[in-house]
Amino acid sequence: MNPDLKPDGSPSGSSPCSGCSVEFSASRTPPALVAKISGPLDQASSVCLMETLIHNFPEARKSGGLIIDLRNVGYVSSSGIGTLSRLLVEAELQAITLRLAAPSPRVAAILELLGVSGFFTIIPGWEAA
Amino acid sequence: MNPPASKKRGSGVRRGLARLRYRPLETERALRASEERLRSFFEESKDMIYITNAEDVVASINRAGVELLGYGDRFEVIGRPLSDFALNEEDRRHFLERIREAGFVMDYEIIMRRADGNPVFCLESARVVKDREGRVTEIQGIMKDISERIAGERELWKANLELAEANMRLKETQALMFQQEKLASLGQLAAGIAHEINNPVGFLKSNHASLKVYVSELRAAWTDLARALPEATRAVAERHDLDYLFSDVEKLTRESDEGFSRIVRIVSALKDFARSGRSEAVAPYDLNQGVETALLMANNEIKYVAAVETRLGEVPAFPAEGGAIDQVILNLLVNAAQAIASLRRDRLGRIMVETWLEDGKAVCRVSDDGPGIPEPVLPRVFDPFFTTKEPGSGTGLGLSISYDIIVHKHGGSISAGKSALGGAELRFELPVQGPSPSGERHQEFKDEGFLARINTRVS
Repeated sequence: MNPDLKPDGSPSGSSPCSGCSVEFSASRTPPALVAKISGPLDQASSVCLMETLIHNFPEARKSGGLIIDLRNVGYVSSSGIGTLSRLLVEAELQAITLRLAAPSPRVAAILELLGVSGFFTIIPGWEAA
Repeated sequence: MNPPASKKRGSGVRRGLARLRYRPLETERALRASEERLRSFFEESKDMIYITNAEDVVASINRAGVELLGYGDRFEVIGRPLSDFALNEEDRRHFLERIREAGFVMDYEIIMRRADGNPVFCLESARVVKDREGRVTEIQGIMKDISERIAGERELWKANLELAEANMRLKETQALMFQQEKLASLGQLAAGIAHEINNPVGFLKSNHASLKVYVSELRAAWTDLARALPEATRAVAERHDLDYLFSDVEKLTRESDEGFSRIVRIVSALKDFARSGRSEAVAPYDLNQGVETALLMANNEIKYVAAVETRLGEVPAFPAEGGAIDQVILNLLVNAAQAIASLRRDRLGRIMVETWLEDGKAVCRVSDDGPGIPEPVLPRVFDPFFTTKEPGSGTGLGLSISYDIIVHKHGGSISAGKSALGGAELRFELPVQGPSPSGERHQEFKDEGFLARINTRVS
């Protein structure tokens, strides 16, 4: 799903995935499209999430990058981590800067435990446009 | 005619009851055997099988479960909530919410913690058992150790991520090389232009100097003549406004002198720039002269957007690739000017260029009162292709090339931060004893906590 555009041209919108939802908005600092995920990031939600975010890569490129906001993600499975990893690979191939924002300590610990946190740029937050 | 199926089943049940009534020992043996099979299935399963009460307290667990959790005796597990053994209690709570809601959960990933503290990745499926009133009385579940599968997946993710990174670096390096090639070509072009300009400027200057002498001679001759024939010359002088002509010629000559000097300085700057595109010999370098050269080169970019202040301290000449350092200063100046211009103010901004000597290092700082660099992007400003400029305004290579020149070529350091003028500050330091093989990138962060929270990539 493409993010809708607000009257000022900034992206906004949401997309339901099985068990979780993605809400799009724009960040001014750093400049990027923000995909705020709410709900568990597991096998059920992974495929839909992957498709939704990749579909929005062109918008992310125009916005200066993609921030996946994880503050509302409580549970993440290996499928979820795999999805984040695949998204990062795809983003790097398409020269899009991908950052993870505000993961809970639980999610951050799982990224660390699975040995992939070092590949991600993790930021504490972002400033709305 | 066959009786209906239900009647058939009914008669089967009756026959079974009859067997129970009349053959109790046989039935008891069959029940025992069945129970034994179930016990064996429970006990010998390679996956953990457990039963908890409604509060998730373990009532029963098989041997594989005790081993999976790293204990020696099942009674170390029985009587404790299963969440005690989860690496993260929240994950178990999430599981219980789901199972109470749906009555069952399939393939739920959970990380358990073994007795020795090590994590074990598990895949769990479970169902609830309810009483006649619909109350949950127990949870029956199976947990499978999937650590090996996860380890395999992890290796795959890492390999893919490393490959993507390597691919990205390769692209960056290629583009950087291309850019450096382009700079080298530009340098050659600049050298050619400088050479072509130099020749005509040479004879123009020479002719101009001769003309100055001739005009001076003519003026002296006219003065002599005016002294000898005052009456005759006055009318001529008035008719041709000779006083004005002579004074204006003097003024024009002075202005032409300044123009020639500027051309000479520009040609010299072009020659310096020409050197920056290619590897050059290390030679004594005057940092303050470099600042002057860069200011001259950037003048057109700066003059409409900012006023430049310079505070150039005593810095001894030191060994460096001068043209390359000039290019760094030029990059910093142009960046500052473009940052100020992006604010579209109706007044000139400020750029301050300072140099000084500090702890055996020549320091140069370029500050501006532009919008500054947002803290979140500070860690990336020296990355190739990173730019905050509007599309088409910057390649994102200027600071990356500057970093390469200062850090890799000269063993110095370069940093970005907030300036006292309110905008950005770029500062580099170069060892006055000459280039050394190592260097370090320093970036200033006002919020150390933020820096600590940033996950830097480990290569």
